[in-house]
Amino acid sequence: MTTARENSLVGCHHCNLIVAVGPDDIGLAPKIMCPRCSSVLHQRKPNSIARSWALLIAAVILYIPANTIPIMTVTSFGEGSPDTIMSGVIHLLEADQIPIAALVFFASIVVPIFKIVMISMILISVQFKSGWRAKDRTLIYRLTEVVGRWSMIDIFMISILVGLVKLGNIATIEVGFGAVAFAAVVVLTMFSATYFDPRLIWDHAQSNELMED
Amino acid sequence: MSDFQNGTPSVAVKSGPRFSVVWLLPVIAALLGIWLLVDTILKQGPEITISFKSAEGLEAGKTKIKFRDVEIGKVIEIIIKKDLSGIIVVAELQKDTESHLTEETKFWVVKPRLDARGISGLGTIVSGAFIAIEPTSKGSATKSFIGLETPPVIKIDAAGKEFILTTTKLGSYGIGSPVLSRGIEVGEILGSELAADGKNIEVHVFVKAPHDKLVKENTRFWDVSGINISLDADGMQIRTASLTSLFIGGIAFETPPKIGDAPPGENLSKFVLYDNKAAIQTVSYSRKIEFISYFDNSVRGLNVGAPIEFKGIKIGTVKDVKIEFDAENTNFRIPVLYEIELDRISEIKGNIIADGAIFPILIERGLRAQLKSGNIVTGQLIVNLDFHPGSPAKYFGEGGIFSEIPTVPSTLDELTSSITDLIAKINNLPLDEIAKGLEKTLTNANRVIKSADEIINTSEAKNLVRNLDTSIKRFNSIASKVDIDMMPRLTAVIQEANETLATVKDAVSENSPLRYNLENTLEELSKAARSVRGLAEYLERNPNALISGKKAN
Repeated sequence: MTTARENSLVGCHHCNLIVAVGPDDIGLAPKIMCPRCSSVLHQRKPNSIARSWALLIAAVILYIPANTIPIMTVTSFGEGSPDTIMSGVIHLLEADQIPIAALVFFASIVVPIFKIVMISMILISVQFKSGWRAKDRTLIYRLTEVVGRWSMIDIFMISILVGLVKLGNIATIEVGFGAVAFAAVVVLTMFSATYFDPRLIWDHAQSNELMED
Repeated sequence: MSDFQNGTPSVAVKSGPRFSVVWLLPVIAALLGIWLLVDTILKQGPEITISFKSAEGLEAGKTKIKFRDVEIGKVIEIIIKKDLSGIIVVAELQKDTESHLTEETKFWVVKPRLDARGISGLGTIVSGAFIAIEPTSKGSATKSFIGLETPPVIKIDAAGKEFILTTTKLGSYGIGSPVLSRGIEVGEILGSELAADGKNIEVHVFVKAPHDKLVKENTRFWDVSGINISLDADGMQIRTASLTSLFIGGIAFETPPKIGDAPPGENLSKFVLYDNKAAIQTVSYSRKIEFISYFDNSVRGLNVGAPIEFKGIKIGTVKDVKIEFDAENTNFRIPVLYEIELDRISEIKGNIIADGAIFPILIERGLRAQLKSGNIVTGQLIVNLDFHPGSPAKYFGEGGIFSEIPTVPSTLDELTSSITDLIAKINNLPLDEIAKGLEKTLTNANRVIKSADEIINTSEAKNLVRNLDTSIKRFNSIASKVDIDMMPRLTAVIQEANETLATVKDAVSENSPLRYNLENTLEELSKAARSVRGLAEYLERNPNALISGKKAN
């Protein structure tokens, strides 16, 4: 089985129109557009690996403040201390809120780390032009894309709580900079995943992987 | 392959810059991270320790340190002192607070409190206790503090003066009760504590500027708490200062007019706090010295509160009267304790009465205490101090802490004792013997008279009398003869003498010609003498005048 690129064809991302691309076209202009819907066409997402890397590195840098700086401060009857993500999980565990603790732990700790590790793994494998287990890597990539947004539940929860819990001295919730950093990490990893073109995985994998099927 | 290409349209081409800005993102993230790190390090404020007796309401990591309700720090850790006498709060303050952390800086825990000012710190019921700070730049910098158990009685930045009022019992005022001057609130009570001597209570009051100028050295403070009801001959009097002071008490002050200008009251100077305004009118002298004097005689009529007079002016009151028995001498004596109000004596130069140093000198000069009748009808006694130079100073020297002023017996005592002495002497007279002697004498006299009588009645005696009679008669006749012969001659002599004296008198009298002539002659003589002197002087200067004669000037 051959790829569209080998056949000088490009599929439009949006209207799925298959367009023929001559080698000249690519050489002449950086952007080719869909003749039907005018959206930009790529044979492969341009600069995909570099962009993914850039966003991923930004996410990794911001991951440090996201976990060390408090994401929120719950003040109730004058008492309350700022909580980081991990200390929040520990507090929930101490309060025997095991399901919620598990959810927060999964969404806010496991998923971002999983995403960062997986994207970097895929990027490295692509850069080394490895064709190793291309199908599994594609699966992982898809999983990363799907699961990534769930990390935002922490942010949504904080946003809702901050908006709702405004009871003056009785209870107040304040957002810390950690929440911003965390949201940035989630968004950056999502973008990183989006900028990555999974077709790159197959560019080097077709020979061995597909032949096996 | 070509089938595909033929059937599909060719791409549209758009040119544009191929510049990837995406790498800016990690750079921004990195810069953000570095900025956060630097910011955290820079914002690191000083770490201080505050010791408190208890950590009630304080919680590590949660309790805040606030200045004027703005959070400037947080408690990090609470440690129990090694000797278990209290706790130490470790707190981190914001940056740039170091300059306000000095020995004078005060920390206290704000929690709900109920006092005269009402309920304070109610907000902390829901907001939780916090540590308040009163920063100041005074004093040397430090990082460890001793927290106050109660809010500080004085705000460092408040302008005004603090005064200490001493009293024997605490009235119904409390922290925050008003201090009034002519009914206007000019300050507040900061707190009260037992004085160092354990006898008095010291009430700290703060008078705000500019009213603090009203407080002079002779200012009187009194308690205006509640209602003052007095019932006396004038009827019933009900007094209350203000509605506030009716409920939460208060202290009023007033500066009485004084001869001379009273200096203003210094910060932290001490005053006496009187129970009420009437108490001032009776006792308005604060500096007192206590003295003791021992009396031998009855002090019936000498009550506690009786006046001590010096030269007729009341300078003190009797504080205590007792009776003591001296087992050594088997003697009773009555110590009388009294105090002299030094302010009653105003000093013209110097200030030696005030410290009491003058009294030993005065005693040396004869200052003595004496009981004196204050009221003859009621028999009230007073203690009179006066100078009795020469009277011996008899000390008992057992007054303890009190100085002793020796006594002299009272005038009444003196009188009584001399009468007693007299009566005793009279009593001791041997009246019986005297009477017997008298009788004997009289008997003897009788006998003498009788024998004389007998002698007179004898014939010799009669003859003697007759002879005597004739002798006297003869003498009489001689005398009369002398009278008749001598008198005319004597009269003549006296008359002549009189005449001679009159002549002499005339001759020397002021208007006599003799005297007039004499005066004229003397005058002429003196003129002549003057001329001679003039001539002599002229000749002395001009000896040639003797030959050439006087030249006209």
